This record gives sequence, C-alpha cells and structure tokens, in this order.
Amino acid sequence: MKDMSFVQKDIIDSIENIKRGRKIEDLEDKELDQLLELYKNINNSLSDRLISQQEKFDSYEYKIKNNLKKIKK
Amino acid sequence: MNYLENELKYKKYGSFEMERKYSDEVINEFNQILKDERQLADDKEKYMSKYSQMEELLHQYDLELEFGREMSLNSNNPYVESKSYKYNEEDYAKFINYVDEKVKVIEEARKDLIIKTKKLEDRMLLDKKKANAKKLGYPTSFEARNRLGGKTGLCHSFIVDEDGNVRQPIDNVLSNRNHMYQKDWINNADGLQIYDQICEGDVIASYSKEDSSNPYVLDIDWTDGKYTQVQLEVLKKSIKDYIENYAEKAKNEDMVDVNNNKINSIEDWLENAIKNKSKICNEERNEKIEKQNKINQIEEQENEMKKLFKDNEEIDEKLKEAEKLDNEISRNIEKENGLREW
Repeated sequence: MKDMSFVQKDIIDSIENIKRGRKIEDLEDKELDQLLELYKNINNSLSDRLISQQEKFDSYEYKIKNNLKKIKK
Repeated sequence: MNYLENELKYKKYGSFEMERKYSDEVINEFNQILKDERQLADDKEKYMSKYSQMEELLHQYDLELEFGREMSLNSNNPYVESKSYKYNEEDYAKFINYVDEKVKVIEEARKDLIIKTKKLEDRMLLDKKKANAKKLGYPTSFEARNRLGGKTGLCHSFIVDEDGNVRQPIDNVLSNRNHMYQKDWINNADGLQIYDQICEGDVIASYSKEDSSNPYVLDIDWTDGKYTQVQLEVLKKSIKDYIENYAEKAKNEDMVDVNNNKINSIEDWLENAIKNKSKICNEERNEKIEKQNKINQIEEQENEMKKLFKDNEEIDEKLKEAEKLDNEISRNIEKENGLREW
C-alpha cells in the first residue's frame, strides 16, 4: 500500500499542476492534451501494476494449493 | 395528441431521456393538459348522454301522445288524458337549453385546450431540438451585438429557425437604459441581444443604422450554412420591412456590409453572407466539438483510473491474505517435517 500512496500523491501533484484550481472546461487545448496524456500514462502503469500483482497472487494461490495437497496426503 | 401521448409513455416508464429533455414545468403543464382533456371529454359525454336520454324520453312521450290522441278520438279515456299531461314541453325546452349551453362551454374550453396543447407541443419540440443541438456542439447561448444605435440609430438582431419562425432574444442589454426602444425587442437600440441554445439551421441576422448620415449595416451574426427557402424569405422580408418602416431616407444604395462593401441586392447578399459566415461558425463549432471530445476522453480515463486504483487496492489486500496463508501453511509443513524427523 505504500507504493499506492506514493503513486496517488504523484498523480494528484501532476494533475493539480495542470488544473491549477480551474474547471476542466476552462483548460486550454494544450493543457487538455497534457492531462489526457498524463491520465493515459497513469492508467498504463496502474494496469501493469495490476497484472504483476495478479501474477504474484496466482503463484501464491498455486503454491498454497500444492502445499494443502501435501498436508492432506 | 399522439405526440404528447407518446411522450407521456416515456415519462410513465421513467425514461431518463424524458427527464433530461424536458423541465418539470413542461411535464407538469403537459400532465395538467391531459387531465383537463380527459375531464372535458367526460363532461361532454355526461351531458350528451343526458341529452340523448331526454331525446329518447321525448320520443316516448310523442308516441304516447299520439296514442292518447288516437284513443281520445275513440273514447273519453281519462287515463290517456292524465298520461299526456306528464309531458311538459316548457320544462323540456329549458332542459335542452341548459344542456346546449353546457356543451357550448365545453366546446369553447376544448378549443382553448387545443391551442394550449399546440403551444406546449411546439415548446416540447423546441426543447428536443435544443437538446439535440447541444449534443452537436451548437452554441448554448449567443450574444448578438447591435452596432452603435446612437441617438438616431435603430438596430436589431433576430434569429430565424429552419421553419421560418422568428425567436425572440432571452434578454436585451441596452447600453442606454433610457432609450425609448428599451422594451421593444424588434426596434432595439444599441446594445446586446442574448439568445439561448442555437439549433441546427438557425440564422441570426442583424441590421443597424449607425446614425442619420451613415448607411445601414447588414450582417449575419451566426449560421451553420444550412438554410431553407422559407427561412430566406422571412429574413428578406424582415430586413425590407425594417428598412421601409423605420429608415427615414433608406434606399438600397444606403446599405453596406460589415466590411463597408455596398449591398445592391438584399437577396444576393443574404445567400452569400450565410455561406461565407458559416465557414467561420462551423470552424468554431468544430473546435468546440473537438474540445468536448477531449474532455469526454479525459473523463473516461479518470473513471478508468479510479477503477484501476480500486482493483489495485483489492489485489493488494488479496495478496496480503495469500502471503499470510502461505507463511502459515509453510510453517505448519516445516513443523510437521520436524516432528517426522524426530
């Protein structure tokens, strides 16, 4: 969870740097492009992280199942 | 009423579209009209049924009277006499008048209701058109500026829809509040005229006379380039009427466009001006649509991000539990192996 907090803070800072308290409708075209790019990058990292965590979970699940089988025997 | 009834069905089934397109005020007014309509139909039926009952009764009396007369001719039968007296023509005439009056009142109310319904139908169609135009990126409000009316000046901008209907501005913001034309939206003095949602095919034209010595300035303030013949006729007529009725010395040669080019024919100028102005307006609209698309994409990505955060949090929790369980099981296996060895 420490990693997540770090990512969140980073995201909030970057988004706030672009928005500077303005509504999305009031942003200039260039700023909208930056914001869209930022969100896409964030989502890519979050998606990659999700896949990697899911893989870790799957390997634990596999290990646990095998160990449980061993115990039953 | 078919259109309104269909719309009611949407409301009845709780359609989101209906809620979004029409204000509560319109829906309430519409429901009230339907209620009044039903009430009037019931009232009319009630009176008409009394009327036919009476007709039936009258027919019966007539038959009996006829029968009585026939009987009287043959004998002095007192029964026939007394039965004939039951039919009071004066009372019956009074009743017929009463029913006729009631039906007349109902018919009048019905006519009034039809007018009200038509107005409401038009309003609902306009609401629908506006909602659609908003989706297509047409300006949600428009400020048409009249050019310098000055002391002797008169100016006016007006919106004509594709059916040739002229829509009034929602506000007149005059630079001179004491001006005699303040309350008259057609004969406006210098200032702003503000229109709400512009729809597909609408044209906003304006004309003004800067002062007594300068020519009339004609301009197209907004258009998407689509126009109908009816609309064109209304625009031409309005410009001509205005100049003929309000210009003291107006002649065709007194007219120029915003770039000070002389206008020889309103007809030719109008069609060209609509085409030329539409390029600028459509560019602005496309920019707006593009911006809105970007905003939509950002919002989608933002929602996606929220979902990914949640999914990441959930998988972290699951992973934590799995790690804990794995440690526990591994410890137990180690313990068991130790015991076996011992």
